[in-house]
Amino acid sequence: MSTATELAAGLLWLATVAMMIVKAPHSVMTFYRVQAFADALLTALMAVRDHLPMLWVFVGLAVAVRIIIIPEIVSRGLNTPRDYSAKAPLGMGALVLYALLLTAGGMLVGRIGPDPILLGLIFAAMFVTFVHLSARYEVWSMLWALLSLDTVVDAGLSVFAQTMPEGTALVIYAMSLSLAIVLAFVAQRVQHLKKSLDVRELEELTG
Amino acid sequence: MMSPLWIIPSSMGLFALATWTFPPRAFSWIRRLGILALLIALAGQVANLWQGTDPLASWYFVTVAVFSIFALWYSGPYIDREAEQHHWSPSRVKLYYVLLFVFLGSLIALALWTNLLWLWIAMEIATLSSVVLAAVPDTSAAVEAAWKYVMVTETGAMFALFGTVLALSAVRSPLFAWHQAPLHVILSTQRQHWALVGAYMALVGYGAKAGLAPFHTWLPDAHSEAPAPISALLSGLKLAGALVIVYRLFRILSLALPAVYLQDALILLGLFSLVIAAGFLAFQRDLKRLWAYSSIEHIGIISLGVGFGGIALIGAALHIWTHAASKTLLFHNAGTVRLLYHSSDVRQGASSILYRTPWTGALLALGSAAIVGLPPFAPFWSEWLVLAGGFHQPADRVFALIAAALVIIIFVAIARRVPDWLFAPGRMGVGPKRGTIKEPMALVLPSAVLACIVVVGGLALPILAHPLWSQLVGELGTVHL
Repeated sequence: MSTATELAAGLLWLATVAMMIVKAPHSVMTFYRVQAFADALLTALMAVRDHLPMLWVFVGLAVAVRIIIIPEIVSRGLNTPRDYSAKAPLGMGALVLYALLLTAGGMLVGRIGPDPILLGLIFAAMFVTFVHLSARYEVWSMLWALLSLDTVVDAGLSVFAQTMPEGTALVIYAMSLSLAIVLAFVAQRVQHLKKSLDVRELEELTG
Repeated sequence: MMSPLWIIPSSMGLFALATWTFPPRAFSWIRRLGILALLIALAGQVANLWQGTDPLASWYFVTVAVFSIFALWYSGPYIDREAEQHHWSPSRVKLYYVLLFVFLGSLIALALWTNLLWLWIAMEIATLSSVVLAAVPDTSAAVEAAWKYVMVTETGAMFALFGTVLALSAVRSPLFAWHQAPLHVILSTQRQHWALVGAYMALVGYGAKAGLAPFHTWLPDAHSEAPAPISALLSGLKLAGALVIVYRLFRILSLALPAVYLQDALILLGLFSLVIAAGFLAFQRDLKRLWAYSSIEHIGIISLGVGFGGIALIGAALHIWTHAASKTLLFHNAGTVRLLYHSSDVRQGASSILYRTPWTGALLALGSAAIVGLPPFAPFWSEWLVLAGGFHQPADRVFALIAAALVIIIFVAIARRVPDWLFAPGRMGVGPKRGTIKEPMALVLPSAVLACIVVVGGLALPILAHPLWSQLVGELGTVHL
C-alpha cells in the first residue's frame, strides 16, 4: 500500500513540476487534471489504508470540482493566446534544476513524519508551487499556480486527515474547493472587464 | 457543542438565507432583525447568560458585534444611494446583503472559536465572502482589487493551514482540541525546528491575511475599492482577527518552543509595517487609500503589542477595539464623501469638505485626530500601552524607540495630508467657489453615533466593561508568549 501511495504522490509531484515548466494554454489544463487525478488517487488510497470512509467524499469532490468544473470555468472564459513556457534550452534546464533543488528540500522536510517519502514528495510539490507563484506575475500563470498549490495542500491534508476529526477535515476540504471556484470566477471577471490576462497589458496589475 | 459559539455565527447564516429567499423590499427588515440579534447576543453577554471561551474571545466578540451593528445600519442608506448612482441591479444588491451576513457570521466565528482549524475555516469564509463583496461594484478597479486580494491572501491561506498543521503536529498538540492547550497534554519538544518552520509559515500566511508588511500588497486596493461598510469591516475587524489567530497559535507553541523566536518575528513584521505605512501615507490622494495605509500601521502596532507581551499585549487587545472604532468611523465617512462628491480623491473634487458638507467634514476631522493617536482619544491610550510595554522590556527598548519614532512620522504624514480634503486651496479667508452639498441625515447619523463612541471609548470603555476588562487584564497581563 505504501508503494501505491508513494506512486500517487510521485504523480502529483510530476504534474506540479510540469505545470511550472510547461505553461502553454492547453497543456497546463491537462497537467492540472493529471494533478487532480493524482490527488483523488492518493486520497482514495488513504481512505483504504486508514479506514476513513469520509475520505471518499473528498475523492468525489476532487473529481467533480477539479477535473470537471474548474477546467470548464477556465476554458469558457479564460483564454490566452500566449505561451508562457520556457523556450530556450538554458531556461528550461534552469527550471528543471530549480525544481530538483526544491524537491531535495521537500524530501528533507518530509523526514518529519512517519512516511518520509510520501510526505517528502508532497512537500516538494508544495515548494515547487511556491516558486511557481512567485516566478511569474501574469494573471493567467498565477491563477494556475494558486490552483496547483490548492490541490497540493489538499493532498497534504488527506495525509494528515487521521489526526483531525472527520467533520473538520471535510469542511477544510470544502473551503479549499470553494477557493478554487472563486478564484476561477474572479479571473474570468478580470478577463471580461480588461479583455486580457497578460499583466503587460493591464496597467495596475504590474504592481 | 450547541452553544453560542455556534448559534450566533449560524444566526447570521440564517439571515443570509432569508435575504436570498425574500424580495428586495424585505431587506431593510432583515437588516433590522440582524441588528436586533446582535444586540440580544451582546445583552446576553453583559447579563452573564453566556461568555466566550476566554476573556480575549469575549473582548473581541464585543468589538465584532458592536461594529457589525454599525455595518448593518450604515449599509442601508449607503447601498441605496450607491445602487441608485451606479445603477446596481436588484440581484447585485441582494448578493451584497447575502454576502454581508455571511461575512459578519464568519467574523463572529473568528471571535468566538478557539480551535485553530476551525479558526482557519472562519478566516477562509471571511476572505472568500469579502473577495466577492470587494468585486460587487463590478468596475474594472474593483475586480482588479478583488483579484489581488484573492491571490495574495489565498496563497497566505495555504501557508497558514499547512504551517498550523505542521507546527501543531510537530509538538504533538491535538488538532481537534477545542480549547487552546488542554492541561493534561504535555507538548513534545523533540521536533522544535519543524514546529518553528510551521510557526513561521503560519505567521506568513496569517500575516498576509492581516495585511502585515511585506504581505500587504492587496490591502490598499481592496480597502479602497470595496463598498465603504466592507472596507470598515475588513480594516477594523478582519485584519485584527488574523493576528488573534496568530496569538492563539503562538501561545500553544510557546509551551514547546523558545518564545523569543516567535516574539521577534512579530516585532520585525510590526516594525516593517510601520515603515511601509510611514513611507506611503504622505503621498496618498485618495481618502480611502489613506485609511488603508493607516490600517497597515495599526495592524503593525497590534503585532508589536503581541510581540512585546505583558502590558503591551493588553494594549494590543485594547487597540483592536480603539482602531476598529476609529477606522469604522473613517471608512464610513470616506464612503459618504465618495457618494456626495462622486470621488474620494482630492484631485477629483473631494476637497473643501468642511465647508461644503460640515457634518461630514467635522467627522473626518474628529476621526483623523483620533486615528493619529492624539490624547484623549481612544487610540492614544492603547498605543501608549503598547509602547510602554516595549520600553518595559530591556531587550525590546530599541524596537519600542524605533516604533515610537515611526508613529510620530506617521502622525506628521496624516496631519499634513488630511487638510487637503478638509479645506480648499487658496488664500485664507476666501471661501471655496463651489456651494454646499446637502448631507442626508441617514448617512451622517451612524457616523455621528460612532464619533461619540470614539470620543468616550478610550477612557470610558474599561470602566463600562469593567468585569470583562479586568478578566482580560488578568489573563493577558502576565503573558509573554
